[in-house]
Amino acid sequence: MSPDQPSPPDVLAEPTHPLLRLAGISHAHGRTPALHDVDLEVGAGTAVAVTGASGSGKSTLLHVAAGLLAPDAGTVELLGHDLAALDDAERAQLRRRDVGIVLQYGQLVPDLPLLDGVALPLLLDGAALGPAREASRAALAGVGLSAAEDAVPAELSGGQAQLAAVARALVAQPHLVLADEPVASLDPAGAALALDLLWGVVARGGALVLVTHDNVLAARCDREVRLAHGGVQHDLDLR
Amino acid sequence: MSGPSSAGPGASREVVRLLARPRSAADRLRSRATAAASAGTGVVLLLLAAVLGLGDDPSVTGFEVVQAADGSTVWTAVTPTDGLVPFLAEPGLRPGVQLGALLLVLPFVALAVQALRVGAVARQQREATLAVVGASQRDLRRVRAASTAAAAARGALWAAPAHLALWLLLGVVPPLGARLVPAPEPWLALVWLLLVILLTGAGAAAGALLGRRGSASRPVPSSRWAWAGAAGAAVCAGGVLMTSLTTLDVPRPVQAALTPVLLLVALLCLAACAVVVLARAAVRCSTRRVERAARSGAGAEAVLAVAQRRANPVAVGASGAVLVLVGVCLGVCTAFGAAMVVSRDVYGSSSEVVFYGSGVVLACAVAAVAAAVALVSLALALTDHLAQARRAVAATAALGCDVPRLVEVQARALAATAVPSAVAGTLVGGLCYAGLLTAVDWTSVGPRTLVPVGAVLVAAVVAGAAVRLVSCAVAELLTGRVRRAAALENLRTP
Repeated sequence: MSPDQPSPPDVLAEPTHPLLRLAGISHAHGRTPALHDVDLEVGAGTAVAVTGASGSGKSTLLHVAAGLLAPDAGTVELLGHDLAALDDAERAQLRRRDVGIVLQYGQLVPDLPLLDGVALPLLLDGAALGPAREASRAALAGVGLSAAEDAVPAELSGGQAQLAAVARALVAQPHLVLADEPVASLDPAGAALALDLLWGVVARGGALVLVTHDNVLAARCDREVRLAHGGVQHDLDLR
Repeated sequence: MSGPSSAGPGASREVVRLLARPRSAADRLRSRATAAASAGTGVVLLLLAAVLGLGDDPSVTGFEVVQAADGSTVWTAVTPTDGLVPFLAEPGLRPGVQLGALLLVLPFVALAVQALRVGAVARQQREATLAVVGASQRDLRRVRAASTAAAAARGALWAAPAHLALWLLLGVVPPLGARLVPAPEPWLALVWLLLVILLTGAGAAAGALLGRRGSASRPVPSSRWAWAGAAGAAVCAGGVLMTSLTTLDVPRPVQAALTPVLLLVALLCLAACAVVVLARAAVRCSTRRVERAARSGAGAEAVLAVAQRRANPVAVGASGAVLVLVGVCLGVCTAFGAAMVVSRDVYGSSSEVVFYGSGVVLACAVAAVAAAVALVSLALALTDHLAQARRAVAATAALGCDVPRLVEVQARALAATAVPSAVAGTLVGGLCYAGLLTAVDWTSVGPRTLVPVGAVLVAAVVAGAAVRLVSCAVAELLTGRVRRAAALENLRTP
């Protein structure tokens, strides 16, 4: 962001300002349309479920919201920052400091011991190895994986990898968590643990955007946004 | 909120080193292959430097220039203590050896190109994951650069011991007059240190550029790169010509320094141009062959081999370009050798036969080294393909294609590039040279011109058959990797 640009509003100090705002988002994968004119606002202290059939654009929406994918049209405001106005390094910094991302199947860095893999958001932000590993150790303990800190992802079960991904998303204490089916491969106890941790972000005044096929999980959220054919089919207030 | 009010410090050096460390089998293979390419380049450039640094003193040349009492210059033969082959001892013949050494850089560059692409799919997936957790493109570039720079530096450090070993083997053991490597001078250590710095820098730059180009599904380069390469080669060739013309009053030391550099750049431009042309041709040819094979009901091996060749056109192009050059060298040597045999009245003396014969053998040995490196590059591409596409290979095996047939697919994929390149190069080089012989003495069209043409045709057939045999042997060596790739457990891994 250039120095002459107005600084973004402190969205955590202004509860009325959304942590995430998508306006008129459209995106296509090649010639296949994925999202069409999608609007979404997520305020502080809110959990939003994004539901819809396979191929409805849920994961694309999450990638656009995280700044991993630049939309073909529309604006994305993340914690008061217009992502289009930020360069790659600034978007990356926003992701590692303020946004936790949990993708389907965990997506851990292969061949990196869990302790370092979970510490990555801190390490990439310039934190020293020692303190970053301490934070990672605490995060792993939070998801019950203390014993696996030296294991590489290939040595974990699918559920353990998913829990490690949740730990990695929360290690930098983000204000917004974007999670794509975060508990799909977890047993009931693991799922409850992961969801408690994710809802902890909401309790601290942050926000959670949860992509899910699970109606029970969606019902636990404050809002449900249902996508169909790349557009918003309905946006229900569940409170 | 912390927010991106200014871009943060990013990953520390410690973290970059942590992420750059080779961990997976593909990382280790990439690192070793990059180091091998760097070491090979370093050895060849050290050899070139040693040849460029050869002086004109009697211990090297075997001649002493003495000023006679009447003021005339008298050349006196002395025993050359260095015992180098005439091609190195005589200053007038050294440019040929220097050109050969420059050409020998190309296969190692091709090997480096392939080495850097090893595990590209896995690396891109890993980088996508790092981006999710907040790595910027700069961070990713730094990780890639650190990883390739470390491998290139390791290889460059090995260049000096390898050069010393080569000197012992080819510069000490052979008898006087047959030594191929000059004794290393102390200043060569400085050249080595310079090479370590240059090759490490080149490795870092190549690593940083990898991601920008998108290495996993890299499209075939556009033909404008071929034109740019050809133009660059023409400019450098012009430069060589200009520096060689004494009428331009270019000082001799400047000529001596500029000519090899310009030649190297020209050769690299030509090689880049050939890579693009061959890569595009490979894709076009593969598409046609798949269609033809499908129409004619050819075996599954043929269809799979051609499709596999299409999957990595850049590696195919780079190694194909080297094999074309090897073929050209072989063709020229064959035509020249045949012309010598039928022109015994011209090249009658035994000393001349030994002189030219040893030159031909030396050129063929250099070509053989280049061919071996090119085949290693192709084998590396196949090995990498087997690792990256193991699910597809396992699925093919599950559909009923057993391991021997999959090995045959590898042999065919290797031969599909190597055989046409070597044969085409032999024909082009040999027939052009034979044509040149005819043009020089067109009145004597007969055995003197027809025998070299016949010899070139035979050499092309022999080269094709030999390369096919080597392809089969290399594929057999890859049987273990094929078996691992075809294991049904791979169907369950992501």
